[in-house]
Amino acid sequence: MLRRDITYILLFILLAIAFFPGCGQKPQEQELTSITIAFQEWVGYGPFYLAQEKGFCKEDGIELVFVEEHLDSARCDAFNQGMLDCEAGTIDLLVSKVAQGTPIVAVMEIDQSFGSDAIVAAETITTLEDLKGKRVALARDDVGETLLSALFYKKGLSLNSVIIVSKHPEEVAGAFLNGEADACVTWEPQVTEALGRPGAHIITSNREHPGIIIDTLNVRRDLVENNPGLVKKLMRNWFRALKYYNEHPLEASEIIAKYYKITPEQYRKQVQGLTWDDYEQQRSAAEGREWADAFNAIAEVKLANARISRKPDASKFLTHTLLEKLYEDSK
Amino acid sequence: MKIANKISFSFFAIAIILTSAVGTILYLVAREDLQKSIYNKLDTVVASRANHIETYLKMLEISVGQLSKSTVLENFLKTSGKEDIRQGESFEKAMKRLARTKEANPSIAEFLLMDRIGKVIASSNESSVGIDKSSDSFFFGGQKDTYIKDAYYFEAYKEPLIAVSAPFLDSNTGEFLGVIAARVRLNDLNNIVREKTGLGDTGEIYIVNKYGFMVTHSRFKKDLVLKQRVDTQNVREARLHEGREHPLSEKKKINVFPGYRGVQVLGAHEYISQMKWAVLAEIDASEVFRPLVKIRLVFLAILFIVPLTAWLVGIFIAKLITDPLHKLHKGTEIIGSGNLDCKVGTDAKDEVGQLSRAFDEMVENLKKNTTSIENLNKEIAGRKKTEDVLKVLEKKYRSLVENIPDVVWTTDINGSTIFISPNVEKIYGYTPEEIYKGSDETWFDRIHPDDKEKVKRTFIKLFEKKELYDIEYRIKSKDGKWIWLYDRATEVYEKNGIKYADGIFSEITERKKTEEALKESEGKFRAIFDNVNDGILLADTEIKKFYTGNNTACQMLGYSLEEIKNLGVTDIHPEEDLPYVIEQFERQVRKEIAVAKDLPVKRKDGSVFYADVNTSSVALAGRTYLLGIFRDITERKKLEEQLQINKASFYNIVEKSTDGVIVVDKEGIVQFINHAAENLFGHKAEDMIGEMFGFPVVTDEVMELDVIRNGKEPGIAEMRVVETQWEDHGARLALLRDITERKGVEEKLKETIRMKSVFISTVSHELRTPLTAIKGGIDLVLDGLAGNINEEQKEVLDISKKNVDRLTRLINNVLDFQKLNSGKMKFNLEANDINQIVKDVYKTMNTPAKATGPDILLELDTSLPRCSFDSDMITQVLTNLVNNAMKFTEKGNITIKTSKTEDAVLVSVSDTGCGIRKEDISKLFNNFEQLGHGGERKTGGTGLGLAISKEIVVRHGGMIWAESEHGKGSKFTFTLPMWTNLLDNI
Repeated sequence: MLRRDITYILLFILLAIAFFPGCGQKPQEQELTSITIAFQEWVGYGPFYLAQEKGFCKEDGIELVFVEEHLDSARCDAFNQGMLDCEAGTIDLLVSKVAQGTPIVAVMEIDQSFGSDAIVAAETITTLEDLKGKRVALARDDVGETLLSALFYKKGLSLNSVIIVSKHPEEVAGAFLNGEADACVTWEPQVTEALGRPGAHIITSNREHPGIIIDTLNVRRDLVENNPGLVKKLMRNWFRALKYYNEHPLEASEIIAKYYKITPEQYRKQVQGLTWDDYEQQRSAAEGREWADAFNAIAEVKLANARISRKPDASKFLTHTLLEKLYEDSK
Repeated sequence: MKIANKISFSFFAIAIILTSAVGTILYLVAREDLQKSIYNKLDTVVASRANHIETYLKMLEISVGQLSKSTVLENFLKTSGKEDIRQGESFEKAMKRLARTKEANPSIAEFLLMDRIGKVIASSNESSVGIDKSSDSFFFGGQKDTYIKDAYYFEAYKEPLIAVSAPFLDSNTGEFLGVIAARVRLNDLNNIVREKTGLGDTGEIYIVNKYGFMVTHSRFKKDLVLKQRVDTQNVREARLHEGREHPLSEKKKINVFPGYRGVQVLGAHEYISQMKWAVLAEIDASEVFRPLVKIRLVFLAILFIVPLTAWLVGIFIAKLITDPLHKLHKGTEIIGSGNLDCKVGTDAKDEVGQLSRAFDEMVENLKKNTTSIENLNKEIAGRKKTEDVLKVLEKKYRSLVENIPDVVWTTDINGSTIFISPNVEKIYGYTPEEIYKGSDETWFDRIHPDDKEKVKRTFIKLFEKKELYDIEYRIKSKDGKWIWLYDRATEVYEKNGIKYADGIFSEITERKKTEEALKESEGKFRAIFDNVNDGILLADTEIKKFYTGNNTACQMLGYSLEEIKNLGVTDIHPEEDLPYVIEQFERQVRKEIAVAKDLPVKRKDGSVFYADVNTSSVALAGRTYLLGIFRDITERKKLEEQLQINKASFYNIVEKSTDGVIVVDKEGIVQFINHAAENLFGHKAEDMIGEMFGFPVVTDEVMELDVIRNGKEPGIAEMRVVETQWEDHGARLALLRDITERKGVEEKLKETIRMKSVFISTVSHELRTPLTAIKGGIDLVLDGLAGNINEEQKEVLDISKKNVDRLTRLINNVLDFQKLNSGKMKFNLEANDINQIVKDVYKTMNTPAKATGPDILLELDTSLPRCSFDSDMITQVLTNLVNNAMKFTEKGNITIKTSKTEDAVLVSVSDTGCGIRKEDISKLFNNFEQLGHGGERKTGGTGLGLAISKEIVVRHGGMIWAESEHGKGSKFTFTLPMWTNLLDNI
């Protein structure tokens, strides 16, 4: 009997010790794998913020680290050094980067600008031809230059016929507003900002010329090859966020708009100038070589304007293999 | 649980709970204080180092900025591009200036001077001169302001560096001349973070860049710079606390978390916004909480000692309380066993002592009363026992008489009932009292007239000859019904000179009814036996002669029943079949078989028919008979033969069918496969029948299967499945058709459509570009920019311009139509006011320049809700309708009207023009259909306008139609659905 009592007492004491702070093992939190992603301030990338804030990424064991890096050359450095995992950017910048040997591959489309990228000009300028001899503000090696050079290329005009006012991407509209330039080539929300100049109007936009400005998710090549599962998680969460946005536009735009320091209404208005394709649409677009066609067309323009020294092979830098795998996983 | 244990455990439990609670609170407070104190120290240190780093970066910017003001370098930049950069005095001076500045700054690895296009024109390292750095971020970033390039590994120097660059501007004009950049070693940064004062044995400070990679050396591991990704809570929080307004901003958390080495650390952080660097100070948690180890040991010792002591004290106190109780308990046990002389009283003055003494007094009183009570009890017990025996016997007898189903009676020689058991009432209806009392009708009077004499005789014999009887008779019960009784006299005796008899009767009415029913049933059975469709013969198994048979057997064989009774088994079968028939008969007798199939049976007239004979053994009057049921199967045999013929022709048809036919049972097993199906699957029928089919067979669905035709080439088969019967079981019939060729044609068709789409897009795009140039050229000439032109030339050019415009419209329409058809046209749906669109179109079309032609009138319903549509698209539709109206209305009005129905908004454009012929209205919305309103073709349109309009409206969920009376005008109306609820949510 005494032995049994002593056993109970010892058990009590051991239990008390086990619950004593510092003696028990704390439960470990789930380890999250970080993915660094760089992009400029463009409303089309908003669903990445949504995926992070709604906890979709965390559920999948990943955490997105948003890197603000406006300089494309700095991003190239980071990719070359193996420090940046992926970026969201336009297909023209992809052409420039891969032509320089940056080790990246585009794995899916993020959005297509459909009227968001535009050429805004002063009242007297109404056609592209009117730009001849005029000062045009744009960001060199950026979407603005691509749109203008692609349109000029189609019309047989030379970029040398205009005076380029080279600006940082975020300063293009400002240069037009303060009279430094007669026209500017930029994107939303700067298009709206530029239209604030009296008499300013859009002479053309990619609504009339779709297929030039496509944003893609570009991922470091070694990551695609060695850890495709991680990349798939990122893609899956993008599509999940897109779906959520479509189903709950009010809540989603409220979350995203904070990052752009605009109102949710403004955000919803601005994204009307772009299209987000789900992965079913993207699969068919990829199969239909829409990406490759855009890539090749832009590469030709860049080559003709001597912005690149050789035309890169689209098949090496665009892949829809992961989209296909994502589709197979979903079945 | 015993009281002693309860007390000792209570002491122990209270002690351990109190000790644990107090100890835990003290420990947590101490831990919190310690953690906070060390965190504050880390926070102070990391803030100081972050300031130091920011100052250092500022110094670098200033240094490079000062160099960008160098006159020597400015002069050199101004001359660059004019001659070979390596020639000339200014190059030498610039190179020396850069080399000297580098010598003065040991942390600078290299200075680079780049011209306005990014080419290196001077450097502290001569081998860098001439390199194109236009695509380097320090050139791009340094064009506008001072820029610091984040840490990167420089292959040429085999070490990590940062780069600082600044623009070089003309000191007079401010014109951009180039960029000066310095590549900086990380030594100074490492020195700043290496200082460990206030960081203890395991503390360290390091920098992590915006990509999460370590920029400075680790204290614990070598070679981690720009290789170690640091993905810790400290880094994440540093990013949140970068000092800018951020939606995720929150206060700093003091927390212990796993560090980059995997060990638990306590960390603090600062954020350097300029570089987006996190400066992190961390110290191992084991070191932070080392002082707590002693506290924990002391607590554990207390946790052992205090509860154990409390337990021992509890045991001692429990003993003091429970010892007198134990003594009292023992005494009660002795008294309980019968010893009333036992004393449990103690001298104790407490409650237990008083209780023990009171208990002794109670036992003494008890002892006195015990003897007298025992004697009284014994007497009462004896009487009670006798009464109980009598009661039991009486109860048993009553129960016996009342519960047996038969009625017990005693009567005297006069027939008066002396006793009758009470259950007579259940049978007869009268109670015993009514019977004893007697009435006008005696028992004998109520007996059935047919039985009365028999009963009377028997009763007389009973008393005269003492012959006990045993008879059945009917008697009228109280309710007037006749009931049958089975009455038995069991004894006759004499008592006090009077003769009595005892007996017993029971009711047998039901039994009698059953016997009657049985007789009736036998009659019915015979009728059925004779009239069943099958012939029945009963044959003796030994002599094989027939005992009897039914009418059907007689008719079947052509014999009378009497004749059959004289026949044997061998008489009703053809002689040549007798061995087989006899063998079957013998086997049926031995019960080896129940049915003999297809037996030939010979009629009286010698003709033969076939019958299945089903037999069973029957025992009658001690003999065994074989009951044979003969079923004439002649007709069935004929049908079966016909079925065989039909089946053969069915197989012939199915086998020759060019479509595959497969029958699969409910389990998916192939039961039949025809030749065409063999070819489709490349397997023979014998290989497939009895095997699983392998494809899902779903009724009422059409599936496409991949097949190997003739076992050689791949193909596609279309399978349709219907329910069927196969050998009396449910099955599925799969009909397969080879559609390989059809599929090929379809694929080619799709490819052709796709190529058409691409062709139209390409041709249209390619046509537009030269057209724009042509139009521009015509405009230039018309505006007089290419010299003056006369009126005739102007007229020709006007016509050309109109045709170019028309061609452009045609191409645009073709492109729009192509986009709509291919689904590439994106619709930008949003809430819009249709009246506003109408007003806009009105403004556009009713320009001051439009001096002639019809007037445009508006009739707008101002109460219309906002609808969801693409404003550009609907503007295009409306413009097209108004344009058409204007084209065909020379005089009069064009009215644009808006209105609404319950669920849609209506927009109509009506004119007073020439109208459309009735037979042409149905063609209006066809592609490339171009009609004049009078029916005659007019040029000036593409023939796609209305087709495009229709497609746009239909894509919005609306409808478009036209009404017209030839010569009086036309009215085109389209609708847009009102989805007001949806819009409220936008």
